[in-house]
Parts: sequence; structure tokens; C-alpha cells
Amino acid sequence: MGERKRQRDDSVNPHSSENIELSEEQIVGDGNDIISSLPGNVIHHILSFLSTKDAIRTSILSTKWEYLWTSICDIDLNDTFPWTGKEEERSFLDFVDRVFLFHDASDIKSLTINSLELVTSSRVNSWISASLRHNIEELNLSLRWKAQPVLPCHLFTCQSLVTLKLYMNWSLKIPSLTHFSNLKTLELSHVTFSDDNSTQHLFSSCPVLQELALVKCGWKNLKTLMICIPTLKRLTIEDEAMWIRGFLSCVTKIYAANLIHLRCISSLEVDFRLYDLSSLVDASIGLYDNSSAEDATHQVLGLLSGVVNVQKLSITSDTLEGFHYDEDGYTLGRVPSCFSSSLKTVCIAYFSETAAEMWFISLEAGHDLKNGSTRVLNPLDPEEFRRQGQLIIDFLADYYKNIEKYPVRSQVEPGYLSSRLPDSAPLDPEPIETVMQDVENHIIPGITHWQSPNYFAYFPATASIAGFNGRNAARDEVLNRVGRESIVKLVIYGSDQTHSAVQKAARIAGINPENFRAIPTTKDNAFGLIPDSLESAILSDLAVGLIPLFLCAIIGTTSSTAVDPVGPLSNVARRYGVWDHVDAAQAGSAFICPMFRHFIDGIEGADSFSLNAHKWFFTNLDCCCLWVKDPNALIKALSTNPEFLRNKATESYQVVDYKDCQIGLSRRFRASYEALASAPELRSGEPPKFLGLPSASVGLAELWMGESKDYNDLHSLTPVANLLDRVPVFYNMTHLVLHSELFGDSFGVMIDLLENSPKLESLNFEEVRIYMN
Amino acid sequence: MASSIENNNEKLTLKSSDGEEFLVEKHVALQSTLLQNMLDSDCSSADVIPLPKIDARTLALVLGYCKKHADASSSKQGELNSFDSEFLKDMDMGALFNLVLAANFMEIKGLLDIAAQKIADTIKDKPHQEVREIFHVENDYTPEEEAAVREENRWAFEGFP
Repeated sequence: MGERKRQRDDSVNPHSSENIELSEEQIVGDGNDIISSLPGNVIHHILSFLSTKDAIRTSILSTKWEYLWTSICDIDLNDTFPWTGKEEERSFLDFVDRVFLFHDASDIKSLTINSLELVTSSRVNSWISASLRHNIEELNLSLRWKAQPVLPCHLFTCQSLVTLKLYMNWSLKIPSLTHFSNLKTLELSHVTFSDDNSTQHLFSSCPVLQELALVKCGWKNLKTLMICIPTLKRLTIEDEAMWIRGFLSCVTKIYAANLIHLRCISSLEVDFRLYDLSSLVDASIGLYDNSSAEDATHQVLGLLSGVVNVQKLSITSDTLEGFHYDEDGYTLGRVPSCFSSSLKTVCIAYFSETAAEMWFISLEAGHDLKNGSTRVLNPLDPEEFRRQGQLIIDFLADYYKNIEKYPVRSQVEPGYLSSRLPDSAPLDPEPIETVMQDVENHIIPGITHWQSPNYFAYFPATASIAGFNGRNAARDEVLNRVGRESIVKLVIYGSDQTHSAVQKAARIAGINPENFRAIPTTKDNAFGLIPDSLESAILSDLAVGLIPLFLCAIIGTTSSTAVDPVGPLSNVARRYGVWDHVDAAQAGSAFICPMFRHFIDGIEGADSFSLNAHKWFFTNLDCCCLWVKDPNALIKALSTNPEFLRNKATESYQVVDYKDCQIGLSRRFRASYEALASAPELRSGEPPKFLGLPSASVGLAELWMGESKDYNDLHSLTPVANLLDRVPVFYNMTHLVLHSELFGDSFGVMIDLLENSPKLESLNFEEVRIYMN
Repeated sequence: MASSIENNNEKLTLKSSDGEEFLVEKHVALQSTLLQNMLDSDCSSADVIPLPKIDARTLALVLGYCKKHADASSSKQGELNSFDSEFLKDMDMGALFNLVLAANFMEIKGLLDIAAQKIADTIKDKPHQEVREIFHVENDYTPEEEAAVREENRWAFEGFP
């Protein structure tokens, strides 16, 4: 600070009287509305630090604030309107129109619109044109067009645009006059390209492009995908290869002399040709589906030989398997040059001594890796387990030894951890030491040390029932509207395959047990809940004055592993204001694999979604993850605020107070522990492990189907294409349970088969249970 | 900025609205675009520069901020960040508003940003009734008008009482 000299002599200050007057004007504190009297530019500056939603909500403070938000330069509009379900009410799209209508003359720096409602080209184009007039720099549209969109021509010649992100399930028509003179980031998702020329034209019209991402795009009209962008630094190509076999079958040529990061998740069938990637530093390659074995080796080697100077290479085990199919084993003569030139360390995680992995190790023995070392990390290796275990025990022992040295209370601001987290889970495994170091540096400072001898606050209460429940939120939301006494009229919907747990939970929530609708399903629909059946059930309930409340759509039912059609059901639910819960307890973990995600197409419409991490996520029972679109609904249903539980952190709205989301006042240690435990698991477990288990399970299911194919009269419950359905049934199956009502006419055949089939016997069921209804 | 290097030891005098004078090193004063422009436009540093909108208490805080930022080298960004977050911690609303006004008047962008951010954080995620209370904003809407504003902007009020 500058030196401060006291000079209270008024005579040296000719303006003193005026100054005192001015300073009195700004005396602030008790009872004065200072914030409203701030200069306009300061208020706008404050608003710029708020989310769009918070900024718009200031309109209600007083008349002065009504239109102050209309100058915000970052507009982020996400469709959160559903759930009221009243179509006649103002829609989200009308609201977006309003935002543009009221926006003042100032620039719009970024615009994000994300909606599930169907939109027309003319409406979207009016938004785009308005944002172009306001010198838009970042445009991010994720919309569902009713028909083929025709985007305004002047979008394609916009000079202010720096970032363009489009999600659309339609063709992208590229005008011949296209020139994005300042575009640095282009991300196209689910976009179908029309032809070779216009696609190439698009890329060559971006003279300064640095980042390009093509996610699940449609290539069927292309023979060659040519990406020739000398300025490109980051390229991402992602596809759901397995399910759309042959879809991405065009030759893909990449010329990018300045490319630094390459990420490529695709089918082995794609013919990738990489040219001139001399600047590449890290590459991450995941190729799925090695069904066409001979080609696979060719493709993998082709792709890897293009990444000559790469310093860091992440490959999935499937990709490594691509080496597998060479005639002479794995000919060293064709080892990609990066292995012998630039790569220094290769980490093989989840080592299981497959032929491909052994071959890879032999590379190292032959000094093919430059000064190389191959580290084998195997979480199931007893010695590694012992080492990591000792490390943890040491850590715990040290903690208890030094417990009184820690300050009892948490030393951090609420929310401190989220800013320290990386944007995504790492693709490469990290050693346990690094993870523990982070626990020391980032977790410990945030802990309240209950075990400290200096801790004299209240004792943690025991939580009687863990977990929380969207149902209660849904119930309260509706009861607040229609009156508490109407609880007997509420109705819950599910298929007749729905797990009894849903019905039990409905009873706990106070729903009349007679008002659980188990809607019949049929084998023709693979026992999935038919949207039309749901709609007619809702209509007949409405007709007799009942109130449809809650839909439980299930992905992988317990009795038959049926999958309900999430998207169409959510549309019906939305139409009638029914809370749409998607229960993927059984199969949800599989969606970590991109190729299974189409099972939850339309999930954006759901109000809540749950999955069990203890199924395929290597987590101990029980760990159920629940996502809720509007957490406030939960809080309103379960919040209480007695004085002894009030604290600064919660009242700052910076932290989630879990007591408001569940029945107990505190979380069982296990609940927090599992959340903590899954973070190191995600980091040191390496994604291929997560990606690998579900696909391996599907492989087992396929094997089983192959085995049982010889039996003409063995009926598969679910369609052959529905791989995921079969997984939970056949994976890890030691018990065979047959419900007669599921099999109908073929039930007798099944019994016969079981009695007479040597092959089925060889599957070694421990127990076969048969239920005759 | 050339002048700041040449005359690194030069000092200038700033005078607060309530008549207190502060002797400030020139490179510290240059954190303020307002002062920088004044000095560039040949305003003699021998003169006392009056800051008629800023009281002594606020000016002392502002100069503390400028001193820290002028002296820290760019390599110490982490240290500056933690200084910034400590700087506004536990500051009462009145002082914070004086500070945001001073930063705005003196054109000190970094200080304006952290002060505005702090005020925004106070508004964030809170029901409007609570925001009104904290900032003493008088609600001059009629109940009908208020309901209409809320309805028109319903998207933003989902989940708020």
C-alpha cells in the first residue's frame, strides 16, 4: 500500500465541501438499496457473472430490474420446461423468442439453446439471424428440427463466429458460398453429410480452424471423408460403430500437419489413412468390433503407422487385439514405427495374458520400444493388491496418528473441490501413489475431522433409511397443486415386468396399492412397455378422476431383462405431466460403452434416472446413483430447517445438503464412501476395464446363443438384435429361473429341453427353479 | 507503460473524498487505467490528484489491492488468486459496494471483476425474496405486476418459490 499521510487540513483542499457531499451520497449499509443505484455498466458487469437463469430472475426484484437482464451477452437457454405437461401453457420456444425480442443493442457473445421440443427452420433461423446481428462469437444449438433444416446463408459467411456447435439429426446443407473466416472450433454431432464435395468444401472454408469434433455423424453418403486442415490442433472422431455396422465405411483421409491431439473412437472397418501428422503429441485410439479379422490387422497397423511421432498413445484392448490376426502370429516386421521411435512407456492395464498382450511384451524384450519400459498393471494381481493395500493402511495409520494436528473444521470454501477436478476422467491409468497424493492434497483439507480429540460438536446421527426417492418429490409437487387430501387419487405406472421394489416404494410413499398399474406386455414387443398401452391406461384413469403421477420405465427388468422404449414413453409422460423415472438399476452401467447407449435414446426427456454402480462398476453393494433433472423438487419434498442444523455453508447455497434429499439427517458412511471410492476406481481402474466388462459379457451371451442355436425349439425371449437384453440373463448365471407365463406355449418345450439337453447341462446351473402359474 | 519503468521511484499523491492524502508509488497507481490516462495526458505527478468519489477507507483497500498486483510478478498467479479470494472474504456489503464503485471509477479491471463476482455469488441460486432482503431492494411491483413478470419469465423461475 502507498504511504498514508494524515493531512486533515481543510485549507489545502479547495474541493473539500463538494467532496464531503459526494461521499455522503454513497454512504451505504443499513437499509439503503445500493445495488439498484449502481451505475448501469456495473450492474451489467455483475449480471455477466450470473447464469442466464439467475440473471433473468433479477427481473422480479423491482420495476427498475425488469429489463436489466436483456443486455446479457452470454445466453444459455436449456429446456427445463417439461413436467407441467400443460401444452396450452407458454412453451420454452416462445420464451426463447421473447429473449431475442427484448435483447437490447449490445452484442451477444455466446448463445446456447438446448431443447427437446420440435422446432421449425423459420423459428431457429430468426434466432440465428438475431444473434448474427449481435456479432455472435459462440453458437451452440442442440435442437430437434421438425423437417430438414435450411440454415440461413449468412451463417456460413459469418465473420464474428469463433465457435460453432451443432447437434441435429438431419443433413447439413453447405452453401457454395461458405467462409468461416474466424472459426476456431467446429463440433458437429449427429449430423449427416450430403456428399464428398460439400463436406470437403466445409472443412476448406475454415482457414483458421483449430478444433474439429465429429460425433456420431452420418457418413452413408460419402465415399471419402477428406479432412485436410493445416491449422488443426485437435481432432475428435467418435462413432457408435458396433450397432450401425458398415455405417462409417468411407475411406477417411486426414492431413493435418499441426495436429497435436487425436482422438478416434470408431469401427475397425473404417479405413483410416493418416498423412503428415508430424506434430502429433498424443493419440487416443479405440477401435471396436474385430469381426472382419484379416482387415482388422491391416486397419490397426495402418492407423498406428500414421501416428509416427506420438509421445503418448492410449489404445483400448480391442485395438490391441487387432494385431492378433496376422498369419504368422504378430510379425515384428510390421510393427508400427511409433513403437520403436518416439514411444517410451506403454502401460497395459488389466493385464490378462492374452496372446496380443504377450506379443506386445515380447516387443519390449526385443528392444523395439526405444529405451522402453512396459509396465503391467493388474488390479487383481495378489502382489499388487498387497502393495496397494499396505499403502492404504499406512495412510490410515498415519492419519490417526496425527489426527489432533489437523484443524477440526474444514479449511476450505464450499465448492472448492469442483474447481480442482479435471474436466473428465483420465483415459490413462494413474498410479495409486498419485491418487493418494491427491487425497492428501485435495480431500483431507476439506474434511471435518470427527475423530479428532478436539472435536466437541454434535454426534453424527444414524441414518435409518439411505437414499432418496424421486417418487416423493413427484408426489409432493402434485399434492401441492391438487391438495394433500388427493393422495388416494395418485396413480403409478409400470409394466407387468416391473420389479416389486417399485410397488413397495409406492406404498411407502402413501400411494394406494390399487393405484399401481402393471401394464401388460407381450413377447411380440420383447416385453417392453408399449407407449400406446401406457397412454390408454392414463386416459382411462383420467376419465374416472384419478391423477396420473409417476411412470417407472425400466431398462433391464429383473424378471425378463426387458427394455422399455425410453424416448416414446417419455413423450407420453410429458403430455400428461407424469414424472418420468427411468430405472436402469440392472443394465445402466453398460451405457459407459458408447455402443450400448442407443438403448437410452430419448433419456433427455426423463425427470430422473437411476443405475446401480454395484452391478458392472466394480463397486460393493449397495451403491445406487440417482440423477434428477430438478434437484429442487427433491429438496422441497424433504427439506426441514431446525436451528441446530443450520450452517453457513448450506445457507450460502454452495453445497448440497444431503439431509434435504433423503430421510436420514446424515449419510451413512458407506454412501459417501462409495462415491469417494468410485473416483479412484475411475482413475486407476482405467476405462477399458469399464468398457471391457459389459462388452465381454455380451460376448458370453453371444457364445451362449451360438451354443443354443442348434435347438430349433428353444425360444429366445428377446430379439436376437437386442444384445443387451440377453446379457444380464446369461452373464454370471448359475441359477435358471423360468416363469411359465413368460414362455406361454413354448414352456413345455423349455422343460423338455432342460431335461434332454447335454449342452445345457454343461452350463452347470447350480439350481433350476420353475414357477408354474 | 514506458513511463512507469523510467520513473519507478516516482510517487504521486491521491486525495480521498474525505480529505485524506495517500502517497503512492507510480507503478502501483498505474494499475488504474484512469490514473494511467491522467499521467499520460501530461498531468504532472507533482499535483495532488483528487478522487472525489472515494472515501479514505475504500481508497486504502483499493491501493492495497493495486500494490499487491503491481509488485507480484506474473509467475505468481496462484499467489495472486489466493490473495484475491482472501481480500474480499468477510467484507461487509457496504464496503464491497464502495469497492466496486471505486474500481469502476478508477478503471481497475481485475478489482472490478472480483468485486462484481462476489456480489453475483451472493445473488446466485437464491430466491428473489432473499435477494431483496440482503440488498434492501424495495419491491415496487403490485402483486398483479409481479405475477405477470414471473409468468413471462417462467422458465427462469422453475423450482423457485
